[in-house]
Amino acid sequence: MTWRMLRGKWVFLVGPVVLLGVWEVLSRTGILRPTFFPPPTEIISRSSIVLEAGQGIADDIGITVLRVLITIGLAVVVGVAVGIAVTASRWTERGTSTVLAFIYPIPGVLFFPFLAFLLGRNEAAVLLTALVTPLVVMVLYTIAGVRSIDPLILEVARNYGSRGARFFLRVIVPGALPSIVTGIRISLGFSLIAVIAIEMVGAQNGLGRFLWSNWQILRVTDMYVALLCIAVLGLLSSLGFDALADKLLPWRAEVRRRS
Amino acid sequence: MNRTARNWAQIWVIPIVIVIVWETATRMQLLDPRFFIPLGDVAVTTVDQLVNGRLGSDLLTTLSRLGLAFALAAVAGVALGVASGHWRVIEWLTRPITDTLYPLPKIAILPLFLIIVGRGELAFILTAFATAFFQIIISTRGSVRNVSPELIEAGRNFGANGAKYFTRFLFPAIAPGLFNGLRLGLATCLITLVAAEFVGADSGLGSMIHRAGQQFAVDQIYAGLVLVGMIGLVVNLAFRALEPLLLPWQRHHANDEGSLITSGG
Repeated sequence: MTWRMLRGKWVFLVGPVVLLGVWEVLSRTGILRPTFFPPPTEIISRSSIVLEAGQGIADDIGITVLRVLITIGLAVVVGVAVGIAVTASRWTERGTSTVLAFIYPIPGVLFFPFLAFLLGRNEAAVLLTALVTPLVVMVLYTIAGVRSIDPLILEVARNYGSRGARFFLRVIVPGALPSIVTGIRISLGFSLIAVIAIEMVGAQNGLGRFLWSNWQILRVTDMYVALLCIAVLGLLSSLGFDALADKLLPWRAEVRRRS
Repeated sequence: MNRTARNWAQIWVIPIVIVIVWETATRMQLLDPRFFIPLGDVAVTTVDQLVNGRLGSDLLTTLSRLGLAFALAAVAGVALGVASGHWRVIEWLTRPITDTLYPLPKIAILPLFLIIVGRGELAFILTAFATAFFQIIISTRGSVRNVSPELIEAGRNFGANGAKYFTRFLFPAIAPGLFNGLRLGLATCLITLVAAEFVGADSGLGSMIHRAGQQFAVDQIYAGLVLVGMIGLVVNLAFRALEPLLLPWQRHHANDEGSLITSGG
């Protein structure tokens, strides 16, 4: 292996390896308190609890992933429909944007107490709370996507007799798709955040719950394992999504490279 | 109707209609009055809590945490972002770490901070800091990278070296991207801070909503939500108002709602 190749790809391993090495040494020698900063090797070996089915964290991961998937699914379906519907008129479009700009900076988890009153402390309240911010993002991105379609294309489509469902499915949705896909990626990040935060305060299971209950009994190593799982989910939701989207929508990779 | 009035109407008519419909529906008790409260009453509660209750101090607590966390994140994020955009070695060392931690929901680190630094102010400030820091560092590095090589070459040839290179050349060149990164950083900082307060703090707007939830005080929940929404709106408008002042050479887009939104947190 030449030095050049080494510099090409492997150089990116240097930073994390150095960081983890220093952490390991400081923790083993007791300069960092191992109660708070257990050595990375210990965290890795403890990570095997992820594989023990029915033992808590494995189930929690599954539940968190399921919640995120349901949330994002609902956000995409409802958000795209609402987003396209409101672009029918400049009035509904701008008015909706104003309302959503007000809701957007409110962390979704804050709606939990209210929704838990309204619906009871159940799964519906958890999912609806998680839905708030991703839904706002999906609507705004869909609006932006429809706006980005060249008016000339709409004109041409109409002149050639494209109407109703056909106009909607063949012209509007594909035209808005790039923006919608970006919106999905961002919504995915938000739904992960929201689900974890809600699980911390209001659910009986899930990774957020796991993290919170281990905090209460001060099991720090297990907390690091949970954090590791959440970090992997976070990475999957951004890098994994990019890879998938680039495969399904080949033109997207090109657009991203150019921008 | 002239164009500005029309624009204004388009932006505000629907929100105003919603407020009026809400107000009449709740006053006539068409909606369950245990859960849906007239906004007039919410306003009264808000003012009452600000003057007589704890809301004033909660608001100040949140704002000071936000200010501190954001200031630290801005300084550290811009410094490290510029450094890693400028020197390859620093990019090699930091990029894998920042890119891995960026998509991690920072609220998940809160319990860890609570253990390590205790249940004081610091844990919440650190959580909010982490959110903004990664956002700012990544967007700053991106905008340094985006400066065209020809421009850098020209700058060098005209004698922009040493400290002068950064202050007179690089900062003006990356200012628009930098500004946008800071705006998004502040928005995500606020979101994470309030969420963290909600989950684990004894003071601040987030914890106030949590308390209200435990006491079934629906009017206070509304008051808290409205206040958080207002802060977000004010912060965003402030940045928009500042932009033409700080970056007079930029062309401004009057209305791009999409740019409100970012990922991360």
